[in-house]
Amino acid sequence: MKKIVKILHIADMHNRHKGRLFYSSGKKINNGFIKNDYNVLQISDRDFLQSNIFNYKKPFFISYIDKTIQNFLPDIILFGHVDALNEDDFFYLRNKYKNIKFSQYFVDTLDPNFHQHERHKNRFFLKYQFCDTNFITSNPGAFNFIDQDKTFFIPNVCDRSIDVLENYNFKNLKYDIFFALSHGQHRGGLKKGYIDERTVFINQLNLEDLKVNFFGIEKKPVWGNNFFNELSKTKMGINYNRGQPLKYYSSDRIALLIANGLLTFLQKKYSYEDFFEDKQDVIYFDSENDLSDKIKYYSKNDKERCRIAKNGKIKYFNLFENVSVTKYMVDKILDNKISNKLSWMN
Amino acid sequence: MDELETLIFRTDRIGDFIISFPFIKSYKDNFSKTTITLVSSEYNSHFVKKFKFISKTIPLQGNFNLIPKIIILIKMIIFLRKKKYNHIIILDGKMRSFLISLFLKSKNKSILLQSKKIKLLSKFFNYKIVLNTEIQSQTKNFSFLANQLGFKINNKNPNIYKDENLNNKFLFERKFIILHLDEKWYSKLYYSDFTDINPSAKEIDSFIKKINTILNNDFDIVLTSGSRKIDNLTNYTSSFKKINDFVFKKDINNRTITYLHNITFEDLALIVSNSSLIICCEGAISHLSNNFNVPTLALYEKKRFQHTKFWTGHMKKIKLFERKNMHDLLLDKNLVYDIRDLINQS
Repeated sequence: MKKIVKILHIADMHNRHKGRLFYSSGKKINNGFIKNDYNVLQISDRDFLQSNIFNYKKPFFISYIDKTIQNFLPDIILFGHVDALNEDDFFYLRNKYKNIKFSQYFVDTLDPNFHQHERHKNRFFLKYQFCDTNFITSNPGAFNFIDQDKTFFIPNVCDRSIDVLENYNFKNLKYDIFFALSHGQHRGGLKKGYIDERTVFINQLNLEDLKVNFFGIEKKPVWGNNFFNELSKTKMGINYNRGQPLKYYSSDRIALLIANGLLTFLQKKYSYEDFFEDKQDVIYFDSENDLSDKIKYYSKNDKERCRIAKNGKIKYFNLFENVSVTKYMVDKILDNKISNKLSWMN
Repeated sequence: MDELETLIFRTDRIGDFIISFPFIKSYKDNFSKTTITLVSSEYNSHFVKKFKFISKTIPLQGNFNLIPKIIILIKMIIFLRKKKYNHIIILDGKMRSFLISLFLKSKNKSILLQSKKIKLLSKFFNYKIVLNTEIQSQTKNFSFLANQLGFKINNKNPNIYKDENLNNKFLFERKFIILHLDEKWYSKLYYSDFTDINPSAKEIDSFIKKINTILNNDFDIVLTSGSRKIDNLTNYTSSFKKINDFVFKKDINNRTITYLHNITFEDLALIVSNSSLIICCEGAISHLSNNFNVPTLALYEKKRFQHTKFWTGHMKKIKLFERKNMHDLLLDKNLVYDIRDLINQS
């Protein structure tokens, strides 16, 4: 009998958002496990703990996890951003299930210069001590507070069943350039009177005569199928991250843009040149003026735009598809030899 | 200038210091401008003093009686309060170290907690806390504390004697293994609830002959011990020829058995560093053998397996073998396999 790896994946699956975030990283990672034929069982922590007034649901949640582990007996427990559990809860689980591999992935920035750095670091550290392996969306070598022998880089994954657009097949699209932001995907809307550096940056672009499709700036943030609908109408996208450049860090925006066939503009200094070639797979920029000029140029050169965008999508799937990323995660967790090693794999 | 001084509490035994060594050394390497003062136990202070990266060692007297204990603490507080420290790190997690540190002047205080008793207090006084939990190897907890303090332990298994010139006063011409027969073999001299191995003089002789047989008479055997007198060992070695105050010899089946009596820890380190295999009860000597990467068979107490793994989880060349009465140990075939397996690694 073939031994199938059993994974208990505890992460937010956004069920309470009624499909608004069906393309979240957690969902794509979960799909990756299934596509690899792992036996994956999912607990959506935040859905379970919805309306958790005075934290009264917490004991039920711990007991639910506990019973699920006993019934399922996984080889791996993989945590997403499970912020509702505290140190004592993780200690309890780790102590009770010593033979199960504990792991976490953390997709928010750990940039020391980011204004919420301490909060993010504490959230990451909450599980870090008790996890055998950790996965982050930046290069672990960029941080002086992370051990590289148990923490590994994973890219923002794309998914063949979600990232289905091929905008490079269309020369005439309604909009030239796409950018979307929100003040937190759970909130969905924008905070009143709050403007962050992304808005400032976008407003400084000189995009006269171009048809822009910006959300979270002029229009409200867009979600769910509407997000993909708007994406499908646009030729190019901007991947802009807040804070100081950090090796390999990006928000999951990068996957949504490149993997759906938009010509994507990436900030320099994030070392994505290690994976994507300038003017072959993506376009790199270093300032507002540089970006404005490049957007204008490619808006008028559809042939070039389509060629680069198509290369970008193919390469993104070759390198960062959820199937290979989740296989890598499981191999790292179980300390298996990495087969079919890709350039980003450690 | 004083504010660049870091005060570290490690007031226990040599094994505790050795396992803390990578942490303290990496701390110094990462914060090179800081000077390190180490509050050690009286027992350890001589050993710690020889490490040049530790600027100063202050021995903390031990006393079992309450009044003298309090007087010692007060004296220590008065002495240490003369300075202001940049950081105070309590690695031993002991209540007395915590109490002393409470009265000292420092902006940053951290504690590796062994007991939850002082968790609340240390939280209240704003200490950075890492739980030194036994559910995983202690070195992992050290790594996490390092990460919390903003550095990485790069070399997790450094040779503590790298910069030392170990005086080669015991010359062994042939390959040898060490049988370390200290008080840990006798539960009446160690923990009374431990399985008593209790080798008699005759059984020590049988054990040595058995080891010789397992190793095809290819190795000489060096017998070492701790500071406590062991009558059975004294009886066994009474027929040995005295070479000098420390060295006693006897030949069995063309192999030399050397008993080293009353040697220092440095002498033991030297001998361990040149040996091919160590057979011992788990303790400071297994930390030494790990330091020199020498294969080790360590006898451990089954009911304290988690505790043993806590201490030895990071050791690459150790085989743990369950404690048994010497009579059973002599009949155990697995012991034969394990010794053969280990000698092949040397």
